Amino acid sequence: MGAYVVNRLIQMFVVIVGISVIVFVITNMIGDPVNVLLPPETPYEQREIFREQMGFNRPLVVQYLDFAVDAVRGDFGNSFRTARPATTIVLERMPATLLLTVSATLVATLIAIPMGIISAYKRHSIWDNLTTIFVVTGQAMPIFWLGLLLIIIFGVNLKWLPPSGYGDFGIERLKHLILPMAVLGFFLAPVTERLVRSGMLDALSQDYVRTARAKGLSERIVLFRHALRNTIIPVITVLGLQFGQLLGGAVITESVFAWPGVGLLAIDSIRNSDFPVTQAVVVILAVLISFVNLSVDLIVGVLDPRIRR
Amino acid sequence: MASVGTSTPETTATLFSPNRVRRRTLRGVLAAAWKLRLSVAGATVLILLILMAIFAPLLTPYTTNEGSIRNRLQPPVWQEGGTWSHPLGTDGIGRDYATRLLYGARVALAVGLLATLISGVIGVFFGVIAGYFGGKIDTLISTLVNIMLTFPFILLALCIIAVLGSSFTNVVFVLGIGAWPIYTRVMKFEVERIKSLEYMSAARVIGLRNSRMIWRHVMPNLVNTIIVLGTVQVARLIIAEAFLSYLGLGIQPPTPTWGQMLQESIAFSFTWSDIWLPTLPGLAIFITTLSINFVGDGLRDLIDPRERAVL
Repeated sequence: MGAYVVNRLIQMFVVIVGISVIVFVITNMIGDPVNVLLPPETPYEQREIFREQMGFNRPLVVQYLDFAVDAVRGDFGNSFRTARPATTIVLERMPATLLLTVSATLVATLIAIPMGIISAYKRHSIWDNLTTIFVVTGQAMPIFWLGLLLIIIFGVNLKWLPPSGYGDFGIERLKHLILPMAVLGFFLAPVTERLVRSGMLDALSQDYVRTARAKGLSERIVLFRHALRNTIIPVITVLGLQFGQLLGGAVITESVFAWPGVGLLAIDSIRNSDFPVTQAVVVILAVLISFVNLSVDLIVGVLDPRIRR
Repeated sequence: MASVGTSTPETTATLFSPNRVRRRTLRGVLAAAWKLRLSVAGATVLILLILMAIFAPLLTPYTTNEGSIRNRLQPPVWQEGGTWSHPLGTDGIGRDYATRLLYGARVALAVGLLATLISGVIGVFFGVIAGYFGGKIDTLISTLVNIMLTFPFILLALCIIAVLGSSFTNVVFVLGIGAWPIYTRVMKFEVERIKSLEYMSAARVIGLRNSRMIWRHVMPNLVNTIIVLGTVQVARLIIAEAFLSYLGLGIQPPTPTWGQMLQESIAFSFTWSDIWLPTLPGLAIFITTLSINFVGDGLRDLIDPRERAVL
């Protein structure tokens, strides 16, 4: 187990360094930071002095190492726009994103697990077919369009729910959460359902299920105690590995609903050439994603001893 | 020699497939078509869409950017006030909505296909190299794949498009560059599996060169998987392109795209009677991706019924 954890930690480190290099190179190619920071009418000499002061004239490799050393200490520099520390800005937005992703995951699993069980258990039935339609629709759906339609229907016309924004803490927040949560949940549910379904189909054809049935256990116990329990582990693993994709869905959802999370921040900072914030968002998200992937791996390792290589 | 050289996909996976014989007769084909009716429907819609996109200039008397502000926001023909001169209405500055949707199909399909082609070529290349040679090359490629798959694809695409600026070529390039790792991951495992098959050892024993082994004996066995994977990717990339355009970071006006039309429609749709404005471009995206996914599903069933639930 120890070697396994060390191995995974090294992998995690490599991934985070890789992503930080990519984002550093990209943001430095977006444009000259001097152009962003100084007004356009600044004379050439002053620009060069400023470039020198800020260290933008050094080789990119040196600049990256400098960036990496600061980043490890959680310092990504100050936002070009608000002059506040980029790390603080990103961390302030984190709760909104976590609220959205966690609640959407809950919604998705609450829909997907029963659906997956029924469609595997009653294979080729009307339920199975309906579920397949749900899955195929979900996978083809551009969720930003779904979000827009929900806003127009429930937010603007029916006025049942707030069309966008975050709302004050409490009931208002929950009301604001419903539509984005539904959209992101709809993004995640199809994949989850397919995982549960294929896992259950696999489990139901196993010998231990036949044995359990032969012992005369009730179908309910066979289904939930035996089959489902063995299905859940791979489902958790894959969901954990897809956390990055879920965040991708969150970026889209946040931009449609003006949900003030990290995804919206990322889009805004890219649009405004606010490099320190873009870099902070990308690296912090990479750390978060790697951390989630690792924890899922470890939890599954504890649950399922066969995985500890 | 000949017995080794004639190794095709038939000789490995499909040889043991129970469907192999049945599929060969006409009745079998018809039966399969009925079983795959959704895919057949999807393929039909898709072909229609492609034809409409190609022949767009013949199908409409208007161009994408002509229109008079006096004609703005005419409703579609099924709503009160709609006329056949603009069957799907006009947009906020009076341009014919149907025309813009038709031309939008060109962009969506072209971007989807080209980006899939680029990512497919890169991804399969890396996947075959990693799976076939293994070792350090594999470690290097797999690490890169891990990095790219860990991180949300759309964020990377946004970052890169901000660097390059938005144009048709750049959007295709960014989506192509962003989407290859999925092929690499799948191909690598496929190649590793194929490598362990007996006929591969036989081919190695008779001393075939690596390039010949790959082209003659590995690649033919990958074609099925590549086609299925690629089909689904086209749909995914069409949605990604639409989202970039929706954010205003995709292909720029005056070229009409569905995502852009969606963005523009927001400003004008605040009542029930205006809801067609955002509905139509989104529906165009949805119908396209849905029919592509149906086709992909059918291909997957035809090629390997067992995989149906997996991907």
